[in-house]
Amino acid sequence: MQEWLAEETRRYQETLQLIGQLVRAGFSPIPTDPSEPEEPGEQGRMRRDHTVAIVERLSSWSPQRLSLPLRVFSSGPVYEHGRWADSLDVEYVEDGATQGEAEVFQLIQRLVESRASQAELVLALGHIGLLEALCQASGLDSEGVESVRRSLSQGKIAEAKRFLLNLGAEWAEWLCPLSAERWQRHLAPWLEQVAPPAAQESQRLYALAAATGLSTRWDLSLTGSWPYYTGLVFSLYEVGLGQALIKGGRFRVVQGSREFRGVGFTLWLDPWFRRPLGSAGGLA
Amino acid sequence: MNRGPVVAIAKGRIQEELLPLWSQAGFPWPLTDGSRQLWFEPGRDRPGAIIVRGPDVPVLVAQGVADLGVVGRDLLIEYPEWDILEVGELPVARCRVVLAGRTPQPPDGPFRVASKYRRITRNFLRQKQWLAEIVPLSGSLELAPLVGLAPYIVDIVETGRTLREHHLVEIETILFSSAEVIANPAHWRAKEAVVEVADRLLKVGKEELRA
Repeated sequence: MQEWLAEETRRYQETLQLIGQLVRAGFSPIPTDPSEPEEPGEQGRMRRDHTVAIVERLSSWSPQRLSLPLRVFSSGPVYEHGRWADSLDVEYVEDGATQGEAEVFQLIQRLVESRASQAELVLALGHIGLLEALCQASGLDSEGVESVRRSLSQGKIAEAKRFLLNLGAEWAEWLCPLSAERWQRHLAPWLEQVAPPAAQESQRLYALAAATGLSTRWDLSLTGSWPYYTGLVFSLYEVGLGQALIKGGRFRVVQGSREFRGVGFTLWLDPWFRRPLGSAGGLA
Repeated sequence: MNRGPVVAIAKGRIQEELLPLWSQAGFPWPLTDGSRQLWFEPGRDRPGAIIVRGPDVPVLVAQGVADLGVVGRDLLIEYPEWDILEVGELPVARCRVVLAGRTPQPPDGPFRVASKYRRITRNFLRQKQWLAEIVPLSGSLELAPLVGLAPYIVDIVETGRTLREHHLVEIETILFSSAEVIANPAHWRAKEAVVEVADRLLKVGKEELRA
């Protein structure tokens, strides 16, 4: 038991250090409701996500009192299918600007570096806008585009590919992880032709991601499972770990008559602490 | 720890019918016929394999113990795992999940139905707006009408022979099923070798389908 207590103590201390890093980076902690708001006729349930709970808190302030951009985070468990997982949820709320990705990627880079692990990390990038551009260029109507997105949000890649396969085998080939080289050589030039704004956006985001020094690859089947994602979606993996360390993206949440936009991510503490420490040993 | 890809395979019919595709994909199968060994490690020329009961395949994949899994679509619907990717279909273990009874007439009024597919049955009953009590059984469902346990069953059917031998007839097909290749999202996006293994299996599957 002593070993278990020592391990839990170590994790607790590392969690405090992560929180300390967020505070030093200018992010403020805010308390959030661990249950999701009850719908009429429905029993309340434990939350599956922090983002909506954070926005709910923020929306209690009048627009005049909200000074954007706003850097906030929430900590605590989320629940899914009878399991719970401790997490830190970091949100950069902004006012229609597109600075969030740069700041969030830099923050992730600093968090990663603080752990001093030698393991290989992969930052996977998806993008709702690019996916929709691809689907529209293939000839899918808006209903078909929505079907592809719904299938991908449920992890049903084969089902999503079937919608595109009807229009030609080449379209479905893009719904898989693509190396940076394959993206640049094959998909980027094509995007330039059919959707120039999407192509520019992808180049901007790729440059920001690559600046972190992490191995980066695109995967348009990565859409996240939340309906509030509107643009970039990303996940950080350690090769061989089998669970995401971080999942996030650009969001748009409507709360009553107000709309909140920004970029955020969830850091999953259990896989984060299961990462082996490198020879540098522990926190830098 | 980064190791070669490992595939969790549902034991039984899926395992038997997958082996020819596994070989056609160029992967050696190191276990001898009749071996009771349930796993082997990945080698330089092949992925590793873990042979488990069907409902356990999505669990092993979601937990990251296996990179890929091969399991029936019926089980993916019956035992949904939220953190897996369904990346393709293989032309093996094809079957249907059907409602069967002693006569081809659909039920009329409240009734009992025996099944090992409680979720699929519950959803089917809800969709049909039929009122029924589900009797949970884990096997030998054909006996349920014969011994008076339930006049109807929801079960998988391949050729229909077992139903006929027990004087049962199909009333309605609920879903079509075959083997699906599933993947752990983290391994899928972080380990290129995982996508390569899946692609090779799915490619020979497509060729088999064409043939």
